[in-house]
Amino acid sequence: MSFVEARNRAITEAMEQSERTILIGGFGGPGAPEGGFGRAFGERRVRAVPISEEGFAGAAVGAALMGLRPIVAFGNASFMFDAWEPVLNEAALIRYMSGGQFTVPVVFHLSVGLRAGWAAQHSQTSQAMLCNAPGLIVVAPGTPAGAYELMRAATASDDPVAYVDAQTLHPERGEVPVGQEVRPVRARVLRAGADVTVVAVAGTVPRALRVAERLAGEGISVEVVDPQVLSPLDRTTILESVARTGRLVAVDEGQLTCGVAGEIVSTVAEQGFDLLRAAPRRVAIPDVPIPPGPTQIELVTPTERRIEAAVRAVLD
Amino acid sequence: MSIPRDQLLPLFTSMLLMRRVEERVCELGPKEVFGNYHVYIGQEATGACVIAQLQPEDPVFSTHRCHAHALARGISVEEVMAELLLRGTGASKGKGGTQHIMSRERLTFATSIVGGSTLLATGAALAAQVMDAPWIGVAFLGDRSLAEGVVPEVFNLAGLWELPVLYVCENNAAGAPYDPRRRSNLSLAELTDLPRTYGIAVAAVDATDPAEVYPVAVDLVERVRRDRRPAFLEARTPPWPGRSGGENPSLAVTGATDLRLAWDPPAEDPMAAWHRADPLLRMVRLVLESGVATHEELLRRDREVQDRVERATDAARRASFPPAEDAFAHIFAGGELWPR
Repeated sequence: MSFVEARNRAITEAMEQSERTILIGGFGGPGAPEGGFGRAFGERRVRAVPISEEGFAGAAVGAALMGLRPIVAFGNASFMFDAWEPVLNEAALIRYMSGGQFTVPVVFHLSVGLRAGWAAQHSQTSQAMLCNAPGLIVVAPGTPAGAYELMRAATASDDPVAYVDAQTLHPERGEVPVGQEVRPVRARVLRAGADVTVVAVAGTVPRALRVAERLAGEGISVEVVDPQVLSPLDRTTILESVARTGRLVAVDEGQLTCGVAGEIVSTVAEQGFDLLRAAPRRVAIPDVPIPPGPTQIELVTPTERRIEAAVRAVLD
Repeated sequence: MSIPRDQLLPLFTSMLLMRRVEERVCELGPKEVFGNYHVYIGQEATGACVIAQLQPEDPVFSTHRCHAHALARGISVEEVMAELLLRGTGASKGKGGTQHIMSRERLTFATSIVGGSTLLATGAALAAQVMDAPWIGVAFLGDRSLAEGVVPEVFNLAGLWELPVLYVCENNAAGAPYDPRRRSNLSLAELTDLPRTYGIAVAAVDATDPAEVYPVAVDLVERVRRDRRPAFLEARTPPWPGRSGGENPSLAVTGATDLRLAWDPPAEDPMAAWHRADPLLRMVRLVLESGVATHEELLRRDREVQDRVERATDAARRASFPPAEDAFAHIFAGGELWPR
């Protein structure tokens, strides 16, 4: 099953299981007409929207307060910035500010993933910004199984969830155990290893796995961990992995400064300093806007080449 | 149609309670009410008349100016006062404060982000439509919120999707002459021009006169409930003189309200303009003209309300702040679904 099929399967199951689950869609992403949800569930529950991200995201929050379970598809992550008010000031805070009286079961779907030609305004990677909003769950699947598991959990969650969907993963295929009960979501160890832990986020997961496979041929044993949930972070699984390997590379296709990779490194530095045999490394976007040209974008993306170089560096 | 006889005393009492709580807030001042507070003095007819038409299942979305709406929805004076003083016994367990008096039981929300109430109420109306539920969404908003981009966004959604939502725009800058450009920073001849453009039913009232607000509130709430389409009410009041730019409001200018002014105005009154525009004094006159109560009965009721506010204030002062470690509570709904 492909990544997109797995994600859409989870949405379909949620829509079938509860009349209260609705889809409010923008351009691209699961809300788009080609997703087929409109045909399957009708325009009452699958809403084509005017281009007003703050308006329709805010309406979704109000609807969630009254018992609906909306999935809001912003399309490109950049467009979500127009909806910062309802996402950060309303959805993430209403439970807290009401002393726990209200829940806001809404899923915000956003597409990330660097691709040549899209230019900086269509290439924002906002996962770290979203992690700065306590009250909001931030998930970022890195595998087809994760795409399914995390969308199932997100649509079952009583908390607001931002679902960070790396479009570069869409062609990925894998085993997806579907149709099961929603279970607690934790980080996954995707490949066991002894020498280095690579914690890879979202679109960087297949790259990390390919680097691990390649280096295995040289006798370097790389453990690959997919955190799956960026906030709250499953720190335990990451620390347990570093306890086995003693070395850490954190990879995220987001900006370097105050980023997700930095949070993972900080966690290990603070809570697992004695486990480390070498200084950890981050592989991220080096604090530059995303250029559209193919040679420039290659330089700033957390590619296999850069991940491999970081693994070799921590082994030096 | 004016105010039905059996509604006169309940409305008077509702407005009086709002007034006495807000006056007490002004007396407590920023030392006891942490942070900036926004009072509702002069606007009471709107909240009392509109909320009296609502059902318990109609969600109400208020703003930073939420104390009176909370009271009209039936959140107790004790819970309101305790929340104002950030006590654990407050409506929002001391996690909201003056701008966020909320109650699940009373379906009352408050957001301090200008325009935010319109978003949430529109969504509540969407939920009613999708679920075939009977409620209507109700948003209170201020005149200046119409300058926020999100307000025409939700007007567009509400008009496009035909959502059962009532927007109650409390224009508390509507002195004479009426001039949204100068008084509200809005390039509109009338506030109702904006929602009307989106096909939303509109009405404007002089909200210093409860007898004018009441029938329009009845009509608009009935229309939204029956036709399942949006409506917009502009409730016009002049600014209360105790509200001065930047500072927290106080009673320094007006003093506390003396109900006797309604039937015994002084020959020389430096506050005559405010007293003419005071909806509470106008409500007193409506009650007296109808004969449903005497001066003495109104004054006795006033003493009862003031006593209740005083007892609630005392109780709030005696109550504890919530435990410090509660700073970590209420962030997530919890459960084992997500890591901790």
